[in-house]
Amino acid sequence: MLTMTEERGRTVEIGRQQGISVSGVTFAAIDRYKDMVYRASLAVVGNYADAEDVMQEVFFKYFKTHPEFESETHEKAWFLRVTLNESKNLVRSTWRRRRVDVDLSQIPVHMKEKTSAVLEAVLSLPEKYRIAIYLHYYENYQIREIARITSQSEAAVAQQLSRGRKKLQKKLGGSKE
Amino acid sequence: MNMHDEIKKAFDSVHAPDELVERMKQELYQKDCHEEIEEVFEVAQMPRRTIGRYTAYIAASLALCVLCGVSIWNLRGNTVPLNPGTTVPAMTTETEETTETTNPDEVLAEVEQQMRIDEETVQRRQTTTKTS
Repeated sequence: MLTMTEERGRTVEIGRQQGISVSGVTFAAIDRYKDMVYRASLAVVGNYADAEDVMQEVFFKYFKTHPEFESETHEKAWFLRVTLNESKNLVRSTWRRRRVDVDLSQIPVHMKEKTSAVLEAVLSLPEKYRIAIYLHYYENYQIREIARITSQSEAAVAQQLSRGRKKLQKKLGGSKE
Repeated sequence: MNMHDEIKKAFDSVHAPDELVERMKQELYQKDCHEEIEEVFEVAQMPRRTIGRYTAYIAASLALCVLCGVSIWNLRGNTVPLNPGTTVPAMTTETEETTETTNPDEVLAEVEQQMRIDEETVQRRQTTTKTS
């Protein structure tokens, strides 16, 4: 007679042989997109703790739905869109609006030394400018693509980029182009 | 260095914490194992709607039982105890009166008297018609 643990181990093995394992596929996706999802959520929520929560939500959603994609670009766009939506949901949640953040706890210890003045300046911008700047300057998306991902008009995105850039220049001392 | 490069460099320094990634993977693996077990052994999960329906049935049955119990309890309070000591005195006179009226001898006498009266009346009528 098999014990519960042995039985479970055997079952998992059978599942693997049949190719059921979903976690394997999700692990590969995590390794590919973990940093992108984390950065994108950080650009929206503006602090590390919430970015971690969003990252978990995104990958749990991927694990639950395990969607199929036509191409890698399609997959990347899916992750970005879901990340932005999850981040916005978190930003707009009642719980978060009522929460009082302690400034010191926002940057984790392992990030404190690495956090540059530019990153801090970007994170201090209003949410809509942060998203546009991140997607344009880091992910190299064109205005049209950003408009599609964020479900906005191209004119709105262009304006956000222009204003965000100006604000950033102001914050960094007006020396950057 | 222009703004583009500065921003790129700044975001490049941001990485998902390894500890969190590992923990997340572990959780997902456990979830996956659990789901696989359910799939392989076909662990049937009762749908929520069925659970709700069963709960409703049980609640209704219980309510009915309670209602029946309360009714029976109330009925028990209204019954007359069959105790010889308890009285039914008012009935005695009524019974006596009834016995008087239903005495067969008296009834017979009454009937006979009535018949006699009837016969006399008939005879009286006949004599009056003959004389006329």
